This record gives sequence, C-alpha cells and structure tokens, in this order.
Amino acid sequence: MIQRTDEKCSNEIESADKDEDTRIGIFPSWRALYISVLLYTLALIVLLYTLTELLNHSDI
Amino acid sequence: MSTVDWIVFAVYFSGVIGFAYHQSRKNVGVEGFFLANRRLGWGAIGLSVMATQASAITYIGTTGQAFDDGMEFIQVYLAQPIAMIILCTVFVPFFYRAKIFTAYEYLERRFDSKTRSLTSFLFLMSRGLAAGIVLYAPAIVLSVILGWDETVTILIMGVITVAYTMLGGITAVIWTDVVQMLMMFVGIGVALAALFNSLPPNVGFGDVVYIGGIREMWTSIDLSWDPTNRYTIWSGLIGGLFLALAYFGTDQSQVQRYLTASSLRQSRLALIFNAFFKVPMQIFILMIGVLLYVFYHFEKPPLVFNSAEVAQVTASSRADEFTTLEIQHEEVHELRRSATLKLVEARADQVTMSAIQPLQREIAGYDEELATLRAQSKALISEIRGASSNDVNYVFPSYLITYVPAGFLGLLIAVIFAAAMSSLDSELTALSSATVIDFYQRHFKDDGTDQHYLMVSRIVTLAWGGFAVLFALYAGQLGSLIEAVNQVGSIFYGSLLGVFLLAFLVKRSTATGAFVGLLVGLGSVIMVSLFTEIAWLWYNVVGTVIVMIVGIALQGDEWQDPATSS
Repeated sequence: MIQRTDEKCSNEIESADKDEDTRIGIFPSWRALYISVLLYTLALIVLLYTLTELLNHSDI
Repeated sequence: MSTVDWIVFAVYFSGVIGFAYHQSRKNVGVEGFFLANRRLGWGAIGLSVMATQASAITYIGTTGQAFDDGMEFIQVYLAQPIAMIILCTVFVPFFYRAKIFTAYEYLERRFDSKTRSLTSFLFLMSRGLAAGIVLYAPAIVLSVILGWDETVTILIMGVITVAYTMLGGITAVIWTDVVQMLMMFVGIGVALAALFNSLPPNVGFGDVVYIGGIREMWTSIDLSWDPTNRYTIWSGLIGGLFLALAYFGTDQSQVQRYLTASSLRQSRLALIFNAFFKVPMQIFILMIGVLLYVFYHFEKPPLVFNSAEVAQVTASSRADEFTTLEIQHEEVHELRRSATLKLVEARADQVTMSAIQPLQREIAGYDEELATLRAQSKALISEIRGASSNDVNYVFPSYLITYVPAGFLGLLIAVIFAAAMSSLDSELTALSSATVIDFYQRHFKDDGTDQHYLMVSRIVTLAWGGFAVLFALYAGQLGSLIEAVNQVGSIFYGSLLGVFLLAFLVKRSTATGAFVGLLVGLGSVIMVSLFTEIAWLWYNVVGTVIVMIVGIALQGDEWQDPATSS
C-alpha cells in the first residue's frame, strides 16, 4: 500500500478554519489579502489602460 | 557561441544536475516521489508553479508576438490573480480535505471511478502530447539559431530532464524549477539591459517609448466586444479566468505542485505569490518584444527571422517573389531608419510638435509597409510549406545570437533551455503520478508495497520521458498536424473545469450528470472550434458552462461529502 500522511492532513484541515482569521504577514486576515489581490488587479488594469491611452499616439 | 558562452552553459547544466541529485536524496516512498512528503514551503512551490507555466515558447514566442503585435497579449493574464483567489478559497481546501495524490482521484471520491478515469485519461492524452511539444518547439528554434542538429538539442534537454525527474521525483523538480525560474528572472533583466545597450547612444528611454507608441505597440487594454478578436479585456478577464481556473485547478502538473505544501496556508501563499508576480513578469517579457521592435528601427531586421524557412522558400520555384519582397523590405527599412533618426534628433532639440508630426506620420507609413511585407512573406512561406509560418518564435533568439555579447549569450540560451526543462519536468511527474495512481494502482494492482509503486513510478517517468523525446524527434514529420496537437489542451480544459466546479459547488450533482456533462461539453467545444470563428479563449467558457448546465439538469437528491466517502 502507498503510505499517506493522512493524519497530518486531517490535523491540517481541522486547523484550516482557524487559519482564516490568522495574520498573514502585513495582512490581518486571508480576507484582507484576497481584497488586496483584487485591488491590485484593478490597479494593474487601470494602469495598463492609462499607459495605452498615454503612450500610443498613432492618431496625431 | 564562444568559449565563454560554453563555460556559462556547462556551469549552469552541471549546477542543475548536481542540485537535483542533492535534493533527490530526501525522497522517501511514493509520497516523497510525487508529493515531497507534503513538506515544502510556499516560496519554492510558488516559483515552481510559475516555472511550470512559463515554457520556452512562452519566453521566446511571447517576445516574438509582442514584436509583431505589441503588448495586447498581456490581457490573457489579467484574470490570473482573480483565479488564484478562487483557487485558494474553493479548490485547494477541497483537495486537501480529500487527501489525494492526483486531482482526478478527488473525482472518484465525489462521483465515480469512470469520471476519474476519463478525466485522468484526457489529462494524459493532452499533457502527453504537450510534453513532446514542450521539447520539440524550443529545440527546433535553438537548432536553427545555433546551427546544431535538432536531435542534439532535443537529447540535451530530454535526457537531462528525464534523468533528474526519474531519480529525484517532485523534490528535484521543484528545486530545479526554483533555480530555473530565478535564471529566467535574471535572463529577462539581462535581455532588457542588452537591448537598451544595443540602441544608438543618442536614443533614450523616452524615445523608445515614443517610437513604440507610433504603431500603438503599448496597447495593453482593448475594450472592444468582438468575440472573434483574439485578445480583448473581456476575452482576457472572462475567457482568461476560466483558462486559469482550468489550468491551475484541474491540470495535475499544477495541482501536484500545491499538494506538496507543508500546510494549506503554504499552498495558498504559493498561489498568492503567483497572483502578485505573474502579470509583472509577463509585462517585462512582452516589453522585450516591443523593445526589439524599436531596436529594429535602427538595425536592419531580417524579413523572416527563421533561416530554415528562408532556405525553404529560396529553394522553391517562388524564390523570385521572396527576393522581391526582401528588396522592398530593405528599401523601406532604410527610409524608416532615416526618418526615425531625424525624429530622435528633433525630440532632442525640443522642436515643436508641428515639426515632429510629419516625421511621425512618415514612420507610421513605413511601419505599415514593413508589417504588410512581413505578412506577405509569411503567407508565401505558409503556401510553400503547407503549414503556417512560426516566425514569431525566432525573433528573440535571432537577436540574441546576432547582437548579444559573449557570456551573456550563453546565459540567455541557457535560460531558454531552463524554461523548456522546467515545464517538461513538471509534466513528467504529473503524467507519472496520474498513470500510477489513477490507472496502475486503481485498476491493475492495489496491493503492492510502497517500494513497488516507487519503482513503477520511476519506470513510468522514464517511459513518458522517452515518449516525449521520441515525439519531439519525429514531430517535424507531422507537418500541420503539430498545430492541431498543440490545440488539444484548449479543447479539454473548459469541460474538465466544469466537472470540478460541479463537484465543488453543486451539492446534489451526480456521477451520471458529471460524466454525461463532460462528454456533451467536449462535443460542444469541438463543434465550436470547427464551425465558428470564436477566439480560443472562449472555448473554456463554453465547455465549463455546458458541463454545468448538463450536470445541474441531471442532479439528484443527496450530496455525499467527498471528505468522508471512502
């Protein structure tokens, strides 16, 4: 039989819900980190759109 | 390549092999071979996830694409950070709870054996062929550029990768991916620096940006709604989101990476790392292409960068047509070069816009003429070869070999090899794990010892590696069929994602619903690809939605928790 670290995984899952509210680096929670990723994506799109508008000048 | 380049090249390869061998000694049993005993941290996994996605063709093909069409390809990646959030919140916890080796193993817990077997088989089919292409595509480019026999290039990459993957398993794969990804970061920086250094001394950063803007090469966001347009913000955000979810959430070559994490938290952090860094990396790779475009305003670019295709067309009965195009190309380039130098001088002298505008219009006209001549030459080559020209893959390597100084050239060529190998090794471990866990152990021998499965895993890795090498060696004889093989993945991905979303999100979905949905989804995507002009990014949306609709229509009354089922 293939040996699996089942016990470790079970413990991991039990602690997964607790992990939701723990601090991740500078972020107070996973929710805050995910919101930061969303804002970051939005900022990237806005930045790229701005650069598209500013740097292209074929219509001059 | 010079002696210095060869030394850099040799140091890199011996370093990778030595490092892989060192790491491989930490493997114990099948779980060690396939999942590194679930003990890795987010940094190594995050870089490995990135390296797996960035194949050599991503590196050299994307720069070539930006050379022809500008930055628009970046839109494909813009949904990736959002996909990472969905993966972290939906996919990864489910996979952890199910304590699985392969993504498809989860589907048996949730649905049944045939759904698991079919999805795993689809993965093996698409990834098995892709492994050959991952090897073949850069090998053929490097062979043409370096003048090596393509068999040598394929064997160098294939044999080394198969050897360290077979011996070291996922641990060696992930740690060599880390080294290779760091090499790619360095390579991107060196390439950008070399390109700036290659420009005439009076051409500054502002001039580069300005010249690129004349032909709208900086277009990164296209708001148009045309579904036949390959790259728009909508196809990127919607189609790209589905593609990223399918690739990172259902493809064993990626799922296996985050199953190696020491905790759920480490898995999630590895994906979040990619959410933050993938798009900037891709922006820098695309910028290399735009910089190449600007660079060739001052240096004469070849009309066609692939010297093998040039040799083919000049040996054909239509060689005169090609020579005429080349002469026109050279004349127009000289006119553009002269106008561009005047533009740079005018900008340096800070003359008024009214003086710059005529020069800009002149350059824009030459840009269009050159683009048209290049398109005509590619069409001519396609007609002669009976397969489409893949010249975009040769733009960046051609620049490297012609203009980059000794030492740096060896480094950048090694980076291209690294990109190919870091994708191939991941595919080999994924193919091996799916074959052994989903088929061999599940259907043929479920009472073997751990050592037996470890031995079989190594043999299967060797077999898949051998298949990839053989496929790569004979791929040249497939002609236009190679393009069809390349598109196989995009046919399957959406439907696979649909099955997993049914499993995660539709509590009453049944095995029958998932299986029938998968078949209907696959059929629908094939029909869409054959009979419509819809851009390929939308295939993933079509496949997913069809599977979900069928699965919901055939849902039952009860939900079985995959974590508690046997």
